[in-house]
Amino acid sequence: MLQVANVSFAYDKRLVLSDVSFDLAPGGLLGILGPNGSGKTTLLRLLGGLLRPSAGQVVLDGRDLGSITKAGLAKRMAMVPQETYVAFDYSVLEVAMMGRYPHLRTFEVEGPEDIEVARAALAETGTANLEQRSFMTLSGGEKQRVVIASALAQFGRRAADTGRRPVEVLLLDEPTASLDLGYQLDIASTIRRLNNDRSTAIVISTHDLNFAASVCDQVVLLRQGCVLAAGPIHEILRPDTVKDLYNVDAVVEQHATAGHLTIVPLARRATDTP
Amino acid sequence: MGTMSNEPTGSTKRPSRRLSASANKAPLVPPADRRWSLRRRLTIALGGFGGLAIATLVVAPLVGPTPITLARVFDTSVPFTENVDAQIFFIARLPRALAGILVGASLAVAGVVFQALLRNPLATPFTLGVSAGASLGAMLVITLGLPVALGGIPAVPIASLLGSLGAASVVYTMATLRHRGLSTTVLLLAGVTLNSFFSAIIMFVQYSSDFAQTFQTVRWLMGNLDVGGFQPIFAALPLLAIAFVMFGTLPRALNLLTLGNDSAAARGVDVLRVQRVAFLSASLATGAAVSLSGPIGFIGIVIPHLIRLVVGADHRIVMPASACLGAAFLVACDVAARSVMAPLELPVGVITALTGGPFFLWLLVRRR
Repeated sequence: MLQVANVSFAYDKRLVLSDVSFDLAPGGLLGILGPNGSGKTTLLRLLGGLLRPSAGQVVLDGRDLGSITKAGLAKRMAMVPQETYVAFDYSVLEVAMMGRYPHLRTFEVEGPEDIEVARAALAETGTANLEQRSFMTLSGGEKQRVVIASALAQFGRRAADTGRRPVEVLLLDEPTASLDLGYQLDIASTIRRLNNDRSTAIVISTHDLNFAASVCDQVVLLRQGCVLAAGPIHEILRPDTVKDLYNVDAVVEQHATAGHLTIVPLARRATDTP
Repeated sequence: MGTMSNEPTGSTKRPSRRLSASANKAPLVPPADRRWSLRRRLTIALGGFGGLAIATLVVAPLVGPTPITLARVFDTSVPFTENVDAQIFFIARLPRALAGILVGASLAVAGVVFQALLRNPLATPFTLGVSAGASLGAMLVITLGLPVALGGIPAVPIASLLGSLGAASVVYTMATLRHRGLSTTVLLLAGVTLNSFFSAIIMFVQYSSDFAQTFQTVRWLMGNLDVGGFQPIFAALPLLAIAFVMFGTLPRALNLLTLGNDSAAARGVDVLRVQRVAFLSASLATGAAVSLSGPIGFIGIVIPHLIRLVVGADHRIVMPASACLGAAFLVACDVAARSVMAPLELPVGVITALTGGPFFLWLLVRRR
């Protein structure tokens, strides 16, 4: 459904991604894992159509991203940045309502249907009770979930929208990077629920292997802009791949209580490779 | 209605981290649809602030050394040529009030747009060097003694408009030259640098020019709405009209720009186009306003902040409401400038700064 085919990308002359390929199945939950500076965020921006590949293609449902209009793409693909700073004092409902942008014509005002969509999105992320609060005053975890709601509001259809429901892809950039343990669990359960209930396809970039192991089915390991390995998480996450990825010796084992893989880093290896 | 931030959130004392449905709050919080309704909020805001602007436009020309009354101004039984009240109202004082309306509205909205574009609530219409360019242009004409008038428009407004547009193009070129798209950081830094650089040139030229010219330049820099007739207003009007039509396309996109460029783009906003339109329209409005009145400070920052406190952050309401309040505020300040030390006239820029400055400091303390 979402295909990345031999994508390379360079900022000016510096090559950030080189020959990256992988597929995301409908309803898939994919993690892009890698150390800081490995090109995760750039890859996510390419997937979201915010950047154009220098070479190769990103294809959504058989169409190259470049051939889809901005509004058309925004109705099917949403992106949540690592952190959202809002310069002015918007209410939570107003932020959620911003997701309705691609559905409105230039001078059109949000109608009852749009308000309903925004409210449903807030409810889906467990933030409906914050609706009238100022976005600025929320905690990091609450902000993150409201921004996810705003992204979900992009998918909401009106009664007048006919035809088959298009696929939805949600891109999350380091969704837990600045959150404490409790909020990390909140975000993880929100992500899993969206994936189960709505069958939203989700791509998460993260350097947190345990978080990825707790939510993702598939992973792509990214190192210095190249794909190290890609596939089902149980096959890909092994001590030797973790060692290649982070230069760290680690224990990787199925945790009986958590029900997913856990990774415990043991020691940093001497850097024999650059 | 206030900002929405202080509304009670149902029964939750502290923000709940549990994943809960909205079912439990329905009876406690009134349905927000009516309160949220944009048309309703816009109508209230425009009714209030627009009414205020129209009221000041009518009242301001009545105030002055010669007392006149509305009844005699609109007394149709006396022909206009013999109706002294009507002549004072329409010929002597109305252009000044109209200039105040246009300049106040332009500076206030330009402030809103620059603040959203730079995602910085402290930006003003003058942050990006537009007024410094205008001042340089005006000063050069005054000092070089160019008496040229173009189609009845004096040379000073023309030179200041050219100066402001020149400064804007330098800043814009800098911000787009070596970047993908438009760098707001470079925009800001280049604008601030240009401001200081042009100020230095102004000081240098003033230092070497004679006393009368320096005096004239300083008076221009203080800001003054005494435009001397309808001619300069008609000259500025087409430029302002273009700027305001461009403003009209911006509000919803500016809301999204405040989330950040990537988030806006991911929601379908053509970020570069919006940034361009925002920069060009706000620069044009500022340049045209400054050419009419000289640089008048504080309107572009005090008015938007005050409006946001009252109507919230949605630019679809903030922009028109700021235009109305900016217009009303400047005309009122001009009345004060003419009356406080009558028959002596104070520069209106002094009044806006004297009232706006302390008020803004109070806002800062109040908010944080």
